[in-house]
Amino acid sequence: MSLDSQWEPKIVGFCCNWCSYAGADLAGLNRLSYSPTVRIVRVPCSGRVNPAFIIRAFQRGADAVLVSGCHPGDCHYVSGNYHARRRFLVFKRLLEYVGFEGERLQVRWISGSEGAKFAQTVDELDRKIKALGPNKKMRQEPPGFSGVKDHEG
Amino acid sequence: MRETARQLLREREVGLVIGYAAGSEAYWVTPAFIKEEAQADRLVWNPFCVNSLAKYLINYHHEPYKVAVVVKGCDSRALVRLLQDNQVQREKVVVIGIPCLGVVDAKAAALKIAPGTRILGASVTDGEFLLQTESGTLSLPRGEALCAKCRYCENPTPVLADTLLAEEVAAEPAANIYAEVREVESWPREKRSAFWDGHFQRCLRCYACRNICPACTCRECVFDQTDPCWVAKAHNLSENTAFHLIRAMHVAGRCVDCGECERACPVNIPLRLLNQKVIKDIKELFGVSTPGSRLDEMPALGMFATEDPDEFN
Amino acid sequence: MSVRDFLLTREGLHSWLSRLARDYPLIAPVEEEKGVITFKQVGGPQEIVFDCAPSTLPPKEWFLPSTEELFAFSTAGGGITLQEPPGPKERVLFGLHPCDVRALLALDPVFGGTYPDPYYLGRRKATIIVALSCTKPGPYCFCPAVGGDPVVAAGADLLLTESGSSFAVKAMTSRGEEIIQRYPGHFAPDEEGRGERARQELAGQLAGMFAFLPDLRGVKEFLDGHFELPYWEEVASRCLGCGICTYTCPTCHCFDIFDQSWDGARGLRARCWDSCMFSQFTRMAGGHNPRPTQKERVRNRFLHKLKYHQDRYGLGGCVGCGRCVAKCPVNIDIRRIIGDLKELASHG
Repeated sequence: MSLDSQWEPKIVGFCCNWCSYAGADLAGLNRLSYSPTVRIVRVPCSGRVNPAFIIRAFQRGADAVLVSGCHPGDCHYVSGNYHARRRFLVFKRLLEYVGFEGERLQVRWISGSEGAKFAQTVDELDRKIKALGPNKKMRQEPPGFSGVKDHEG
Repeated sequence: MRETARQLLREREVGLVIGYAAGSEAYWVTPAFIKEEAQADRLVWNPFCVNSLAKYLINYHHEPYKVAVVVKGCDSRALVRLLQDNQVQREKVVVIGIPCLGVVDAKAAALKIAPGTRILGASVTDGEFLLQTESGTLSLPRGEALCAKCRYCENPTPVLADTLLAEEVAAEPAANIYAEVREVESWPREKRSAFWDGHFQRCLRCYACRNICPACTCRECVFDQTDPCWVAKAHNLSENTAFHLIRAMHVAGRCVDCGECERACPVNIPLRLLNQKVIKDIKELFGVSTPGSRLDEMPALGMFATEDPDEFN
Repeated sequence: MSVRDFLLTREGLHSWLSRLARDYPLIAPVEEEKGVITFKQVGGPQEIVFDCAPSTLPPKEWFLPSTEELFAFSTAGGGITLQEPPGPKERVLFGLHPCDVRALLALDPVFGGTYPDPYYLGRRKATIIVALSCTKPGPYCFCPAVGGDPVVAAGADLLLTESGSSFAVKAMTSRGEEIIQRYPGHFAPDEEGRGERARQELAGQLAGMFAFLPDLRGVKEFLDGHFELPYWEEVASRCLGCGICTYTCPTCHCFDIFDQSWDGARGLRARCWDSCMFSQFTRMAGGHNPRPTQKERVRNRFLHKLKYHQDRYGLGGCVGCGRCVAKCPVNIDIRRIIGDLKELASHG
């Protein structure tokens, strides 16, 4: 694959069922156009998003991950997003610390009525990642001979 | 210590004392599990008692008897961790606390002490560790021999103890505990990336860091699960990085900075530098203390405050 | 005078290694990280650590990689097609100490027995081994106690022994002789038996330098008759159940086989190191675990080193390199274990 000409970012969006997923829905209902590079995974709550999900997304080829949930105070489960907020403040810093580009993990509060914000967030992220290029950190190729050890030399 | 152990066992206050016994080289100790008064003479306390013994308690939490455990200040934070996680019941533990003036890094000591040397006694001064051996007194300058984790000690005196075996040691004001973390933070991204890649690719996945960790007590660990398989068994940079990041996040807010992971690592991965980054951020972001310092302060990532900082609007 | 003995100057060694690094993948001990010496492919002698005793990790990675790709599979086009990995290229492994060579001899019957393992054997066959006599034992070395010899590495193709400003070279196999013939001008025939004298002299010097030589006599016989020992509980109570001792051991060779596939249609079968210290090592599909506690696991490891390998192959399972001693975070020291077993044996 010639990366330069054909590469399009892959963005995985973890959207909470109650707000952000509805926000994405609303963006669609309102016929707002936003970048098709995002693949949405519906989760019950932003608090459900385990850092392992994000790591796995990067391993399997994501160039960016968007975690999106209800605004603080609006969580369907009262406090899931407050927990998520603490978790991702820490996790984003940790990713940067080990050498990730921080922009590749975006966390946003998007309510069910913010279709436009959803579309804008995705477009903005898409632009940023297009400027950064593909993510290489932790990325894996589909299982096949990797040429490790004594196939080299 | 031996007298305390004898008394606890004699009076049947406890059924087991977990302490230190002399190791196979002068600069090593080995955990000792003393069940009878007569064995209490095996116990030692010297500047090589680096191991944290608190986690061994969980192997005995189904026993009918109480267990006494020897803890230094840093180890007492591990004990708090286990108590907060309900891995250990307070009423079943007798905590023998030892205010500590710092312990020796065995790797540094091994360069100075010939194999086979026997230590007859030891003392600590401001500037050196003095060791009495069969062939005279040996001095290890504090600057060279002190364990990295002891250079800034927040809790020289255990935060929790039933008996203290020495006078309390006051904590020095630690000016810049996280200097090394800040140093790494200041590097350009490419340098940070290469630095951690270089370390993570070397990981053997022996799980010593996990097994020695007082915050790692899950009955079934995510790294042992094959379905779902969050981290593959394959050893490569991607999987090893996943292992270390997932682990760092799993113990985030619960890591008590005992440094045992880094000490156990057979290939010198600076794990404390990774976990300290999280501790530093958690302290700065949420205004908490080093995990394990206070029994009434629960892990930071298990709680929240509505006024927490927000960067996600 | 044997034509299998040669002399090599220090400069000669360096220029020979430079040539080797050009002609073959040359693998040698390097200091990968401060205090961590491992066997890696090198570009020349300047990268090599010559006086490690022993390396932090053994060279077994080059025969039994920590992760080894066995075959790739694909269901594209109906049916299953398998693809074998390309075989290893001929390479030179330099700087093994005699204990490490002895460890390979202990592994050979495991992978070359009734069910020959083409992966291990392929690597073994593709590897020219240049061993280096120890000039100073490491602090935890005890090879003489388990029948090892720190000077002569039986099983190597070439043996180098440092002697003053030069190296005595002994071709131990015809392959070793071929290597020497391939690099004329580097090696001078040793016609006066200097190499043999140097090796004997070194052996004499080393004899008194081992700090702690456990006495193995009678230990295996004791273990033969005593499977159940309360002693193992004491050892197990300290054990963390990590894999350090098995992963740093040059003779531990257990592995686990697994498949990797993202879509089920194509993927890879691989094996990776596993450790009998891990609680899931013997856990079966139904959940039963014949080694339910750390006691059984610890016992298994020491019995493997001190008895089972001897029973199965007539070879010692421990070569006395001391790596597990150096790295155990809780100081479970096989030298002490041997001593304790000996004492238990003498008390009946």
